[in-house]
Amino acid sequence: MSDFVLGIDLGTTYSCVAVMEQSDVRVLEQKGGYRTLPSVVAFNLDGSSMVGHIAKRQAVTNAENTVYAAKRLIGRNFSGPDVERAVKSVPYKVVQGPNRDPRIQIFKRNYSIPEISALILKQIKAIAEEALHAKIDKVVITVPAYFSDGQRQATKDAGFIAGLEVLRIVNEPTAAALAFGYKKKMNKKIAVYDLGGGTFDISILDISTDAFEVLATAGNTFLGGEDFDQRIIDFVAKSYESEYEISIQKDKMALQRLKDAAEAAKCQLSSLLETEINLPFLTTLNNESKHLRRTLHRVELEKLTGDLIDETIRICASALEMAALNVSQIDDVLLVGGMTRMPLVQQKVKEFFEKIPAKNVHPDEAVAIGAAILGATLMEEEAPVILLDVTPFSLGIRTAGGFSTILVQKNSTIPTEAGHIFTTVTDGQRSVKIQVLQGESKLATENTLLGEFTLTDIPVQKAGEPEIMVTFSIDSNGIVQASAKDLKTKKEQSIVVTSKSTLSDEEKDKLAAEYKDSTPNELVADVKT
Amino acid sequence: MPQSNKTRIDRRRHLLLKAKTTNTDLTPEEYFIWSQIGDGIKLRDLIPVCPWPAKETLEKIESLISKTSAEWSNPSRVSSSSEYKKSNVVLSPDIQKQLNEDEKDPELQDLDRNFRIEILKKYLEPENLNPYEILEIRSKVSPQELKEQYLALSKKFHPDRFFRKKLGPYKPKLDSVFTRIQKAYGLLKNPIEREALDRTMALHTEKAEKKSPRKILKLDKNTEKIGKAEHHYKTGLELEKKLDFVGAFNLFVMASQIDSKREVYKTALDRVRPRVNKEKAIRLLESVKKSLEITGPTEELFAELEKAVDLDSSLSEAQFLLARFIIDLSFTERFRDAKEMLLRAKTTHSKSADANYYLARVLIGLKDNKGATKELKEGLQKDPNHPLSNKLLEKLKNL
Repeated sequence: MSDFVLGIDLGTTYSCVAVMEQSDVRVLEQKGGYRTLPSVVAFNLDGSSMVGHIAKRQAVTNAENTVYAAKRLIGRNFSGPDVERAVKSVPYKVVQGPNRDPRIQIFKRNYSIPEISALILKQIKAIAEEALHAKIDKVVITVPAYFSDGQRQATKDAGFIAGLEVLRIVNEPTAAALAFGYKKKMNKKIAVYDLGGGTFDISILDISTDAFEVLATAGNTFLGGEDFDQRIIDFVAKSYESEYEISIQKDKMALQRLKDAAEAAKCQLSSLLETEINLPFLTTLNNESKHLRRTLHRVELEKLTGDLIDETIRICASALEMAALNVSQIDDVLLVGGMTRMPLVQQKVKEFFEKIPAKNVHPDEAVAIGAAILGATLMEEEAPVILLDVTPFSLGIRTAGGFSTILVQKNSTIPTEAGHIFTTVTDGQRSVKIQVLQGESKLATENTLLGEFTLTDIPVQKAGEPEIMVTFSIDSNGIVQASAKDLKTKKEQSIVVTSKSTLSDEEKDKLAAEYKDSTPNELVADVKT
Repeated sequence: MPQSNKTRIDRRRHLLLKAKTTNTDLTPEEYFIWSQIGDGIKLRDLIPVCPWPAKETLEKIESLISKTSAEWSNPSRVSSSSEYKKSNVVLSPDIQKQLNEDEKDPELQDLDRNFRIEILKKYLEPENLNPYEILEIRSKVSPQELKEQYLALSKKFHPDRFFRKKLGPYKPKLDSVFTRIQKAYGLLKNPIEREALDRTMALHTEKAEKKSPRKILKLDKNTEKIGKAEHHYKTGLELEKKLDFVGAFNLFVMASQIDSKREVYKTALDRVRPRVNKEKAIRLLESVKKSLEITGPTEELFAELEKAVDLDSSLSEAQFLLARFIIDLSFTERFRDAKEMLLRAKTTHSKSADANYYLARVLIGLKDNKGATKELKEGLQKDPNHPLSNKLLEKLKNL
């Protein structure tokens, strides 16, 4: 096994992989010169899968069996409002899994979301192994800074299923900052504005030569390029439907074609003022073909999506406030993510931060590059840089009366830990259930339930007598763990995770074994074409 | 003495001044310094708390040293790994025990022994250390110094530093050490929380001092006060010599506030007060004149001007201006005051016809047209071309 560590930007719509070779960091290209890979997985009737460009290309004719934007579902609770929203706009079927997690149903088989991501990771691994002529098993994977514990855990699980050792889950804006400031000997306060395919993050960092300290982070994991596309789709579909009185919302193939066209139009409008959406034979009505053909002006797009951009600016303002800085104290602004190519985004960011964004970061590649740098530094004898990242949410526990008691404040530097002493309420009680919450609300129900832990084998004592210190730690990956100690006997107390909306260990092992020998097929397919 | 004071300070700024015993022949200033020394203080920390210039402070310290058994010594520095290598520092039994256990674990030999000692030392620190102690830093550091120290400690103790090495039992220790450092910094980097902490810390030390049987500390508080008052008084005298009466006055006020019984402070205050009032009156007048150009006569400016006249009754310009205000704002009930003030102003500004003119207007207001005519004529004798006087005289003639 080689010492290469891949830096993987596992994006909602596109993924990117980079590696550091002797202090030189580069993005690994696929056959055909592509530097990014569509995060799309398609399934065939025999259960085999396709990943990347080939999957994206066949999506129109196989919409129901093509999974894209799975990142919007990863690590989420099936009954949450975000899953409901995501499900509405995708052609594939989403059902509830055993751990209240969403699963994608294709050819009667339910795929967990980490499995889908694992397929993408396996593809990336194959691309890298071909490019580097070496076996690879170590990776650093990036996630949006605003990802919760469950989403991070699920991403880590995906790496495990793909047979990879995930050295670190790192925040995308932090990785981009690393790509920007590594070995540049700078002392700067920077803002990283990361508007990608599915998520928006803003992080404020203080770079002091080789220490990267995140001062504050904020974001929205449901605001990205996909939402811009959806606005165009809705707008075009509405006018089409009122013209022909046909609904295309139920026609999955037509919708898929429209989705591709909307994305293409959006990208073109970053450089052109006007573009044409031309979809001949989109639907048929009474055996007569209907075509969709209309022009879309940049101003129209800006009108359709202006409020999304305003929302990102509002989040920027709150992040600055949390960092206790004002705009004039920010030395540089980095734009990361494909959506930042949109002229209105650049203009609004420039207006808000009162400075022209830095030009020397590649919006699609900076995150993967930063992850590769981090991976390489972790492998060194002594890490030459330190990342002082933060947790984006407060961590609390449910206390009597349905309230949440915060133990770790949001924007605390990680790794960190906090303790809380638990006791029993009845005589002879042998176990205590602990609910761990993530979020800022004082009411337990308004926060995300991370998981339930149960303290077991408590020695038989009167109510209130046991004193069990439970320590909650957030590791460098932003993942929460709990450990318990009996303060009287000084013994470690066993703690059992009774519910966490991620895969169980058994299922993870099973899936890892199953996918061990499956070969990614785009490499083969690309050679053929 | 070829050596400058600056180099003398620089040379010793890291040395610790210790003064265990004392005698009674100290001046108040020396008492003050002595009370600051406590269990030992670095010169660089002592100089800023003394109210005198550095040079003077140094002289006072020298004389204090000659009178007491105070002496300079090398402080025991915060341990760094290099020092472990140099000297065989005695390790606590807890640390020694863990190190002996480490010998049995071959994997741990990967991790430098000195670094293991450092982790253990930091890990075994008492739980009740304050954030400054955790960060091994003085309580008066600037935010920049605080950040630098935090980053330095982070680089040393961040769990990522030895990501590849097997840390064994040191992993949780390192995590907990880093968490402590990071929490201490999290608190201190927030100026509001830091101030609150400083306040509670000050309160605790005060309480501790009250509880402790060392009565001498009480005496110290008093001598410290006396020393300060005396210092203010002396500096005030110097300023008085330089004719900076306001500065001197402020210092005398401070001195007499600290020690209200001392007569010298009171006499000094009485001596400079008139001079200060004069200066204040002039300043008030200047500011009124400036605002007058912008706002014209208003009641606020009138009140300011009255204050100036109260402070210095001999300031004729203020009186003259006040009289004009009374006329312009038609404060009829104050016309008699205006008349008196103008009569006085007339004598000081004997060459100008202005005073005569305004006096005439007051007299008209007081229904003494005859007196007014007389005043105007007197004014026109000084300045036959005074246009306002001529006009007013015309008017009076027509009546």
